[in-house]
Amino acid sequence: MFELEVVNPVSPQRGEVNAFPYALRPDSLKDKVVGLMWNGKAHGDDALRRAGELIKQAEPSVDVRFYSGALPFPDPVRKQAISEIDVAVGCTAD
Amino acid sequence: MVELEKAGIPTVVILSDGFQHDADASAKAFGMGPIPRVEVPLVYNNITTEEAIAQTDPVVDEIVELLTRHISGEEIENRAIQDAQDKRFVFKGGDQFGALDSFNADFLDRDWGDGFPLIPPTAERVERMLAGTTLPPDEVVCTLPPGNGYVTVQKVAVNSVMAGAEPEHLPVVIAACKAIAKMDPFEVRGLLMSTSAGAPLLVVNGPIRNEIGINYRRATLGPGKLSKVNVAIGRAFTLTLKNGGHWYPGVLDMDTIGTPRKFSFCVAENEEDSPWAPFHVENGFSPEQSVVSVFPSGGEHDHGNQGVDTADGLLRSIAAACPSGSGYIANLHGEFDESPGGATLVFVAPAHARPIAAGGFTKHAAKEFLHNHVKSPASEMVAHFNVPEKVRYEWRWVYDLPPWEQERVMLPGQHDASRYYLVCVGANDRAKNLIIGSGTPSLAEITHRA
Repeated sequence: MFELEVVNPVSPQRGEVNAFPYALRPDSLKDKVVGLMWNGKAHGDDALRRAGELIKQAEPSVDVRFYSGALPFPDPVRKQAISEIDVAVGCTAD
Repeated sequence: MVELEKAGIPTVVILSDGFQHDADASAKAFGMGPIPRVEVPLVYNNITTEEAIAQTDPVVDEIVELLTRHISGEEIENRAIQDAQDKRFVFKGGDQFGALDSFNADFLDRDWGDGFPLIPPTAERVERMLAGTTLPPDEVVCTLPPGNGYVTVQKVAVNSVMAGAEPEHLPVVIAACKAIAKMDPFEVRGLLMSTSAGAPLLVVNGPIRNEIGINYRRATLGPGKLSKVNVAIGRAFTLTLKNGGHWYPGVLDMDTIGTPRKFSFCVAENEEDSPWAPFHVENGFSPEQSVVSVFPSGGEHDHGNQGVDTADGLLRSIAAACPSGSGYIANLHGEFDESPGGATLVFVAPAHARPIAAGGFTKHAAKEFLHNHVKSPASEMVAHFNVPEKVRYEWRWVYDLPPWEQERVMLPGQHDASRYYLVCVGANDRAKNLIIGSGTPSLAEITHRA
């Protein structure tokens, strides 16, 4: 029997080294601002606007805001969203 | 979305089937656990507005639930630091060939290879590889995209061994990692993570080309003896991107069709036969420095002509073969984006570069000429990019034109002349050029050679 020992070629990812916890969720969306984060891909905006519409129907007190960005989101848009919203919905689209 | 979650804002992503691994690996790259998501069957980009709405409706309740249900620590604790540096694998066989087969089968099954047989990275071989640089093995070279892997010198060496590279090649691979790690984030994500067939292209300049035998003349991008060093360096870089940068197909590399340029794509400039300053000198380095430039590549086009021998004629011929990009009219990188979009890289063969230069064209003048001659009807732009909301304000007039006028109005192939990169490459006799859809390259000096 012949044995061949080799070393590991894989590097640890940043997420394995510096993990952060998920954001605390609110109990409900009542009076919350929902950010719809569009990455610019076709029809992702349709999906997000529809989701926003249905969320608003279910909980009329929410304020739904649409953010048009990219992948990754440009700094100014991201900072604006962080300062304005309570929860966010994104969409891969492509 | 990761940045929002990190900022304390709960997120949910509507995820199309097939992108689950991509989303989770992307989140992991930026320090987050599995991405909170709802899943839909179809990719939105491929369907109509009506279909987009129809597949979104059923998941909205789940979106609300995920935004309001606490995600337990259990879901994130599966991310302990791995002792990646010390991990070993043992493969057994009836003889050394059997063990070699087991090693290759296992590594390929884990997708740690490229499909071709790998050289086993034994501790001895890695040690030998590390002798190619004066850098310490545990030094972190960079955080390598797209998966933001912490890549040490040792990891580059391991993957270089697997690729069949030699110790003197290692500093080139290390420099290439540094170059791509500092590439513009939009550029590098488009290059490595897109559904397009992007692949990084290494262009080496300076004395190291001759010192380690990188081919820059005939068939420099081809297989075989002439380009064995190019092949080894390119393959080592690909494997390092895979295992160091977690650039795995179907995980972070979402290429729709794929390209053989991803196996190995390394070339050097033919500085000796070029009438112009080398590419690295053009970019501020001295001729004595050795430099690797990482170019985005989106495809290649062989350009030949017959009976054309004037500078003007040759440049017109090249211009006629250059693609027309639409990157500069789109603000897919956001409304605040002022980047110039794509670029065109032309590998000019010496037998074309010389008469072009002899005709009075500096490299700058040749680029200006190309910019002024590569044109296409606005209708082509509109046909290619039809998301009017994502067209930059200064180009929206194009979309307001009637179709007949869109056929008549000619637009430049690239944003400006600087978006043409000319590099002299190839054999010194009969000339054929190679035209490559590209972007902004990132350069790094090749240092710490042993």
